[in-house]
Amino acid sequence: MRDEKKTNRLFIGASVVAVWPDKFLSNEIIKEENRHFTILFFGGQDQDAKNILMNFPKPESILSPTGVFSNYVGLPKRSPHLVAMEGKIITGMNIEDYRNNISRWSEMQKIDFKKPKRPFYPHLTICRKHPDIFKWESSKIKIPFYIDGINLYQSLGKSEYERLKTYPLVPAFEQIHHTADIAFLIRGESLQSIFINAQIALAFTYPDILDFLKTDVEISSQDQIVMKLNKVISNIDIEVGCPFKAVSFHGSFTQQLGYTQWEMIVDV
Amino acid sequence: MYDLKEIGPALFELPKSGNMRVPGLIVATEKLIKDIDFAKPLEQVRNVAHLPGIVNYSIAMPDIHWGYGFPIGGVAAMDLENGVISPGGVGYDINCGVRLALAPIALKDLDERTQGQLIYKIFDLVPSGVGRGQKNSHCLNESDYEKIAKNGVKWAVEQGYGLQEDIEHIESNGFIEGADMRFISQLAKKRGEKQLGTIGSGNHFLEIGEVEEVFDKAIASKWGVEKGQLYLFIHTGSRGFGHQVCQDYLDQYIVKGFVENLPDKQLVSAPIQSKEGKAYFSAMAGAANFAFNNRQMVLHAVRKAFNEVCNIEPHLIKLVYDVCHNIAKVEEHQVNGNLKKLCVHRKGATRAFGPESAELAKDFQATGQPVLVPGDMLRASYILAGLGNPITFGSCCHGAGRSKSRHQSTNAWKGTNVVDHMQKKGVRVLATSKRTVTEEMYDAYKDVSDVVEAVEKANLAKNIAKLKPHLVIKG
Repeated sequence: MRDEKKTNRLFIGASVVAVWPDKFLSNEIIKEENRHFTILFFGGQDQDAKNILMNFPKPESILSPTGVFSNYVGLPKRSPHLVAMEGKIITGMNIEDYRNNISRWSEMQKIDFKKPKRPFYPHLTICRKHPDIFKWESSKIKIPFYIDGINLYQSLGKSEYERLKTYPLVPAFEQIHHTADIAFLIRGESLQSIFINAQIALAFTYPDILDFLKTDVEISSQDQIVMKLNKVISNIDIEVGCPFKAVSFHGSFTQQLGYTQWEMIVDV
Repeated sequence: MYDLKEIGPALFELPKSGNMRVPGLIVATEKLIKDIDFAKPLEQVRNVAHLPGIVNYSIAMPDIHWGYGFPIGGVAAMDLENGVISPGGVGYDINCGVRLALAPIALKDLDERTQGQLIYKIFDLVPSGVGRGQKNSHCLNESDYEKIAKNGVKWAVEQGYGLQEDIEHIESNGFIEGADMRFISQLAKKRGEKQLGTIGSGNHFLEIGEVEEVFDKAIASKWGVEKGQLYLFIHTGSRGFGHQVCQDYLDQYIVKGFVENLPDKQLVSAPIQSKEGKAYFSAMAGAANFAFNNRQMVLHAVRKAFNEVCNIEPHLIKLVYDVCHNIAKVEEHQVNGNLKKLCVHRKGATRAFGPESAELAKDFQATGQPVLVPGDMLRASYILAGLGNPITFGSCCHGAGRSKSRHQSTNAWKGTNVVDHMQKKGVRVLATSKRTVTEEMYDAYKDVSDVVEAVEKANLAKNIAKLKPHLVIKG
């Protein structure tokens, strides 16, 4: 029988990078470095379990999933007291499968925890307490994000968390130096995910793009990525204006371990 | 350094290598070569030299920096019979260009308050920034587009935007022959339908300042330029309309496989005399004529602002000149002692025809054409006079050229209120996006004085006057 002092509140979560709003409806907001999606909650655990969990399974993919937050929601739904941002993961690993994998592994390790009954729900708690949840729920948001790591967290109380172990993920995109215009390294496991991640990368600069996000597009060649991105840009320019004028045919596609990388150069 | 051979004052040859059809020619001083990372732009100079039909040199101006296919600050003349035309050699913003006008007052004659009122009035009348089109005016229809294609800038003048006398003070009289809207997509027309008379975003701007120094009094006086005088610069192009034209033809050429044997996809091109080449030329000319009208309508709105705020009659705001710096034009030049028709691509480069050029209006026959070289929003801009130097097919630089990326500039100015900073330096900046101001801060550009020094040394143009910005509108 293990130590009875189950004082370590542990969980596996995904740390999130996003274009956070400058202002929220409350000043009591969870700090940026503490914002996360909870993947699997273990609750109070003793030191032995903590040591075991330090070796939780790595994700199969090393590439960061990307997605969009589109609204605030009061939780729990029956009597809400906290505010969360509801997200949709669009590219990258299947987190549901990954959670099941960690869950099975944890059972095998004889970790005492309650298996989740509901499917993975990508939400990120942003405010622990607010008197007017409805006000949050009625304000619309469109915030692109990516997951930059999978972590074993320990709750320290008051919405502070310590990352005990991290599996960093390769960002789905990063802005790079380019003298004339702007440029990004875009990464994806398929041509389609490169196409979507390119749009998410642009949305980090200009979130209005998310209103025109195309995800259900068949892409059969690298050139088609450029052509279809330009179609998206043209449509945005007609509707609301777009700071990006065109994506060029420049930039090589290189095969990396587990993903393809493209240098995307954008005329502004 | 960079394997360059000096062949004259501020002129360096980049020798032929691999499948280059001609050598490169770099206009630069040793200082510029030392100060700037030329490696990538020079690679593009080499790439351009691979294009079929290129004549004499693949040329780089001293404001060269990395572009799409062609470097920005690149010039390439193609044999009209067996050469190619490349949308990448013109650029996305077809007929992006600069227009210079002068007011009949000195800047110091306007007190601070009036200067403020003036710039706010212009900001109100001339939409700038992302998504700011002409909300109240009618959308361009097919008939408008047809007339723009057929008449160039005359269309705007006939609509009451500006003066008849403006036309002679615009490169090619504001009209590129051969435009045909049938070769332009509906998507392009849709993008452009509310964009005439707008500045846009990126590096486009509207600038007011004073003539700080006059170097050639005789020519300056012929052009009406005096020390202390208030000037205004308008920098914009064909907006989303031109971008879409470029994009449509790049897509089409790539799908058709025209990229074969080229070192860079973005250089994709078609023989000038082919069906596809002619179609692009017609579409490009249409976009160029759209851009002339755009700058004309912006000037009209500026004249209105001067009238309302300073009580200056519109006709007293004189257009000095309007130049294209992203264009392909059919011109005659001497090649090995013979007069030849060439398709001259100038991408981030300005035509700089000299005195007695048949192409120039009578006001410029004795002086050569004005070459407008905006710098950055703090230090300086220049007015030069073209010398028609055949080595560059009568071409010159178009600006300072970027030295820092937007990303670097944004990082460098993080945490600084850039508008306040500029105000302390004596420049009032208005913009719809602070981000644009940060990306476009003065130190993201080379010092334009160094660039002008190079083109003077290389005998491409003569320095006429130095300008100092005071009021700037950015997108």
